[in-house]
Amino acid sequence: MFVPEFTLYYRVAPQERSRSEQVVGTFHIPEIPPVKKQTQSSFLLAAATLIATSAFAVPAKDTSAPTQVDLTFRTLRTWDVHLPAEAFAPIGKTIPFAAAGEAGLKVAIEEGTLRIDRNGDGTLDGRVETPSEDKKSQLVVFRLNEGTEDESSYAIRVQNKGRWSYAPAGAMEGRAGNTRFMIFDQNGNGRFDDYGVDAMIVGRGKTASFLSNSIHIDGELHQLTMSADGQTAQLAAFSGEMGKLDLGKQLSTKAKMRSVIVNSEDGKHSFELSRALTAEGGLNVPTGNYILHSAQVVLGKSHATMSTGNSKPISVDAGGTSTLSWGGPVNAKFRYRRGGDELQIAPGDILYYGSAGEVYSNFMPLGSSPKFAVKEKATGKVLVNAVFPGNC
Amino acid sequence: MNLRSLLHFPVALLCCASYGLSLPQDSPAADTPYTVLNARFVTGNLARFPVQIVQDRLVVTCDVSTAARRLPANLFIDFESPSTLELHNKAAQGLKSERENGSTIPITVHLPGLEFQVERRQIGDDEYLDHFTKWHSIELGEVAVIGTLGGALLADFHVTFDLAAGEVILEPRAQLDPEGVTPTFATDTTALDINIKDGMVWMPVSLGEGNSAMSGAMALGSGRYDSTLDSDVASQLGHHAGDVGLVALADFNLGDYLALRPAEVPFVHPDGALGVTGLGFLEHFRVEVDRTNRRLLITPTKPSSFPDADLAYFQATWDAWGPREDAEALEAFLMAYPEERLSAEAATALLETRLIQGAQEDAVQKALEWASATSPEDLRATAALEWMESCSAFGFPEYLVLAGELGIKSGRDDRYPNAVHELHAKVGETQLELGQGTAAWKHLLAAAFGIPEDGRVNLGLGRYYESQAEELAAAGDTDRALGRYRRAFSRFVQASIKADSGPAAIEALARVQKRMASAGSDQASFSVDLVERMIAGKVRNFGAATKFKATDENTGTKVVLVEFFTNAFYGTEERGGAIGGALAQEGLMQHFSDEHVAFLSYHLPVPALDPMTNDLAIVRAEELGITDPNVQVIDAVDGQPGAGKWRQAEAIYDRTRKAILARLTSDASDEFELDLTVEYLAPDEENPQGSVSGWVALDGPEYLDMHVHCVLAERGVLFPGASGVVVHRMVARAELLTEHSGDQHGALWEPDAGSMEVTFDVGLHTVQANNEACLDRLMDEGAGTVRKLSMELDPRQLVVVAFVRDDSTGEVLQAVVVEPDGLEELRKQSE
Repeated sequence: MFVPEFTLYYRVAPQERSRSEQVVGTFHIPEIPPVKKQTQSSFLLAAATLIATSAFAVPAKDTSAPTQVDLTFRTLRTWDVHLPAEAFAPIGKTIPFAAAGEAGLKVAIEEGTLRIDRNGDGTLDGRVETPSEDKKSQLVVFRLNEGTEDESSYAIRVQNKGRWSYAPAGAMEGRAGNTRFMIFDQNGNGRFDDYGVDAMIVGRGKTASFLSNSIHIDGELHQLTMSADGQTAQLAAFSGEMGKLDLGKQLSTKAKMRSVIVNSEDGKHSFELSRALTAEGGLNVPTGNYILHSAQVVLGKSHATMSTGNSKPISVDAGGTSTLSWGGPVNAKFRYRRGGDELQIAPGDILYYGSAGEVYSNFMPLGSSPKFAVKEKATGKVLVNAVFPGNC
Repeated sequence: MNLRSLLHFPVALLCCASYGLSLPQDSPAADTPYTVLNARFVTGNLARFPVQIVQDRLVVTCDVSTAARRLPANLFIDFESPSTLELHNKAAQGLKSERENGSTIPITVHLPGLEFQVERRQIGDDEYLDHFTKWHSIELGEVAVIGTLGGALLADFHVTFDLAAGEVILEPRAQLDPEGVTPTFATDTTALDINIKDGMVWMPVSLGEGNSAMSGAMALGSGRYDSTLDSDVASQLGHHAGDVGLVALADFNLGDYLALRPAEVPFVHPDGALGVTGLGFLEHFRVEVDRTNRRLLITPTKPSSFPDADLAYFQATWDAWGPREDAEALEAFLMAYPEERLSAEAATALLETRLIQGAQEDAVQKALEWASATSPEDLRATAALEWMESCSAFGFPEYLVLAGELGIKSGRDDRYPNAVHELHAKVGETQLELGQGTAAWKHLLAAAFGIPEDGRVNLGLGRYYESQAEELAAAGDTDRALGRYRRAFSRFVQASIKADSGPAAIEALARVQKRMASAGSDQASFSVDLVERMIAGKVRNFGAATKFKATDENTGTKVVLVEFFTNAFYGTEERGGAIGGALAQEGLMQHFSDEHVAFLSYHLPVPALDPMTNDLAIVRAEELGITDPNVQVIDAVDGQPGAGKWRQAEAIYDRTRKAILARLTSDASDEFELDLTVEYLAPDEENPQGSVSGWVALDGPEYLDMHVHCVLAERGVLFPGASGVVVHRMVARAELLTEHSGDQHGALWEPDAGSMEVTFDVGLHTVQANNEACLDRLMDEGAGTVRKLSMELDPRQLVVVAFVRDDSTGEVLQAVVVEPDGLEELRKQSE
């Protein structure tokens, strides 16, 4: 296992150490030879639902009238979805859900427990205790129009970390052609039409992009219009200009990219590209500038997250193919504080930058630390070696 | 020079190599602090240690030690894990393996036949380890699983998995085969060339036959029982449940031995990461891993026997779109395979799916019976607690009762004797809410025998007796009603000291006391003092061994002000937190009289809002630069700890007492004379809860910049938060000079001939209203929610503390404590 080493060069002037110190706080990990990408046809198939089939990026023709897709709510019993910006919203007196009307779904906090009106009859029949630490959150399901033909459900996950809060536990699910898509009310406002804010999964898989105005249905780009209550989606062939985005070509990593989210700068379009990384030629997307929003990197049970950092927007032009050199080699930069004869370095002060300027953080599992060496600038003599404690 | 890391910073680091963003290598670098050091075989050059499979995990029993301590342990063996030695935080603490400055004491792992050291551990999944130990304590020999031996550690050895013999064998890495010599193996052993990537062992595998066949690599693993197949690959092959037919590994068809489980495969391999083998594979084959020669030696140890049940389960839970939740398919699986390895998993899925569907009672009852039947007999009551939680959260209290009654049937056989009492408690509590009073009472009473101090049980019983009393009172049977009210009162008192039931119990106590009075009871009125007498011995307390004896040498004119910043939800009684500081305060208040020391406590809105939080507390904390509720401040110049474990209270008391003694001889107050006169005025139309009225006078040097504070406090406030503190002392309720100053900062020193006098007249209802408004504002600002309990001031508890603050230094120059006139009479009236 490779453990990065940091060197702080420390110029010592015997009488005036505090004023003459000079610290260099960067380190470099040797460049990694790019990993050969999987090119087997079998692996290309995995991304079939996402990848446009057209050989060249050309404006799509508007040959078909919009079609309406009905969506129904699907509760996910075990939550293993990765939302691009998941946040638990504080719980008030109701849980907003457009399909339940303005009143929303009734809840209350009584004696430290969360009470829920399961079926909208005004009775608080559900009682949720604070989920245990290993459980973290509790699934809660509401039933609407119980016992009628229009019966449906809605589900959230709740947690209590000093305050009860909630996040989605399911999505509005629809199918068009051979493509399934799921829309998540990521911001918890009860609506499913917050483009660039809510989230969606297209095809198989568990990683979501932000809700986008455009969606790949059986490999073809379509325009997506969601209703606020999430019960209908309008799909029309995408009529704007398109180009290709190929983020797999110049990605250097030996880990698996569980998710890769790009957003258009105007907030209209968002794509989850992890399954398209192995595809030759990239993925058709509307033209414009795209920002590398986030990614999750996994290797076994270890994982880390990526965020935009200093990476620059990627321009996708009509008919062109845009690529990005990103991933390894990684540079780390860190800050430190000096107090008296102590140097303080906190784990959070270290930022790991990928080759496009993207930042990697939230490394799990915990406990592996870089090694720090404080050296005398003039002689190179190591003054102090240190690592972080095992609990951080 | 010291290099110190910040201990509590939440973000952690892991070497980049774990994510493939760094150097490729097939064994750990020798100079990292995570790798094997000082490996020593106890006898010869081989360690052969027994392992067992517990709930689909491979476990080895061993010891771990440092120079400080040696612990018996169980460790998981995860061959495919990129980690090294993962350890539970509590184990690391017990071993004292880490110092505050980041340096470590090497941890020695004592396996049977082999010892080695690791300089540093990685963090384990503590919650998972705790849960695993709880559920499998007997199989684990009552020794906790405290961590994991990861693949990165095992990479230093020649490893043989021989699960048929119940053992794993570690040897030093093999030498390279001599050039030109073809190695030979036993006739029943097959050699397979492997490659090593990211420290993992990858085996070439092909799936399926003919044109649709696919080749790739599977990693050798031991972290789970099932061998997994990438669910996307399974889908591509049209076998969503992983039933791809031929799974060719060397000369073997694993498809005859294993049902591959569709799953995410969180690895990459240039040839295609198809999956990871599991313990099911190792149960059928002895596998010897020779990393040096990139070779696997595979010897069948068990005849092939395809696990039809496993495949049936995967078919019941996967379809073309991915995982599916199909209750009928799960029930059909359970009917066909009621006692297979995956039956319990299926039963849990069935129950949850039925609840999600909002199924009818008979379907849920059947699902509960499956859940019970597939749980170990001695864990059915424990498991029922989890089912009840699900039923409750899904909004089906009637199903909770079903689950609880099912669990109670197995209560006597459960390995955790308290489980049945907890079941009774939850069932009783729920039945009470469902209006099934008598049935509820029976369950609650049964629970009270086992867990007599449980707050929810006492609260439930109190409510039941209260409802009975009301019925009797309505029927005119006053004597019997009073008897029931007394029972209810007694139960509510016991419930009032527990965090989960305390707030409701406090409301109930006040309510019942009033009803008792209206029913003709002449018993003492409800007060903090009364509750305190009733709960004596049931809550933590700390008493000072001595009283402070003032002499000319140890005192002057100075009255020291001790300001305690705390919160009712800071920590817990078990783990420590506010309890340590609060107990120390109790001792200090007993030791020092009001003549020498003035005490005030302020409740901050962190980590959670508590009802004693108010604007004064927030402003005073800002003035002193305090953010956390864990400090005592003496005269605004000396900070002492204000939190800790209850057993640390004496140490906190000692430190603070010494700091107070040092201030008592301060000459800061020599130039001042601070007088305070306060009177309590009974309720009237204008002040329905009464009021405090009076004046504070200060004589002193005109040239100083100062402020005078006059704080209304209560000597005791009843509120059981999570911290374990039930009665909060000297709670600052209001700055009485706000009408004069317009803010919470006290009155500016504006002397006339060296004197200043400020009057005040404040209604207690105004104080309550202001404090409630503060809570409302904080809640609106997102500080959390809180029940507005103990907000009404009890006049019998009132006390006023005035103090003078030097604006240039912040130092408190003098203080005085006065009990309002009129309280003695009030107390006598209410006794």
